[in-house]
Amino acid sequence: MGVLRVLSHHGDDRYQWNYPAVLEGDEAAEEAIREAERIFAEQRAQGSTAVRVAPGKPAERIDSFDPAAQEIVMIPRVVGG
Amino acid sequence: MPSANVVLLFITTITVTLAMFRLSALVTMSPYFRSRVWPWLRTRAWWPVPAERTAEALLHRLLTDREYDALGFNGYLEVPSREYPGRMYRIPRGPGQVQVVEHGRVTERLCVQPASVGLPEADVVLMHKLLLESDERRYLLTANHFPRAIWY
Repeated sequence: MGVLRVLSHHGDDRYQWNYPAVLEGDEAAEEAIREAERIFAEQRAQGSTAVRVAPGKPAERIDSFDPAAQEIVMIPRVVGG
Repeated sequence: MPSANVVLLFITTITVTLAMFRLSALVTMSPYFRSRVWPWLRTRAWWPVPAERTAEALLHRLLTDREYDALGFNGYLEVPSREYPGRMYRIPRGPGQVQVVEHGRVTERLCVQPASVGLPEADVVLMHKLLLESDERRYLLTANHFPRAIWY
């Protein structure tokens, strides 16, 4: 299962997908992954940074949606304070 | 005189109430409370702010046990630089700027914040950590730098 987390004032909004099921042609799984990809693109357009994370490993910035990622965190646009 | 007693009672009540507020503020805003007690409370199921609960749970899950314990103990999270050997970034829990520590000495402070307000405290810690790990150069370009020389 992959999960896209969008950090927000709600804590984080989560969108999940099942990549193995997508590879098997499951329509519901394809719909879920399309939705995650759409949100990823929408957030990127707003200036968010996307990072692929895994516990115990350094975060890795990504510029395009990775359906095979286990977890992607979208960080809202930041500015110098 | 009854009216004098009423005035005295009123003043005493106000004074005691103010003193209690002040004392509770001193205790709850202390570093120990900020870095250990509040985060622990936020992870409880009954905590009334779901955003803070989910943010704290995410932070706890994405840090190692050692990092999370150190954050609670010190009040800041240390992230080693991948670009500059010997450099460490200290991310505070709660308000404050990220400190740049080189060879044990704070050399400057960095200020970076979300463009839109309202991220829970734990998400802000995570935001700094993830940005520093994933793209340190961009983080440094975005940040406002406060060199040690201008603190005084």
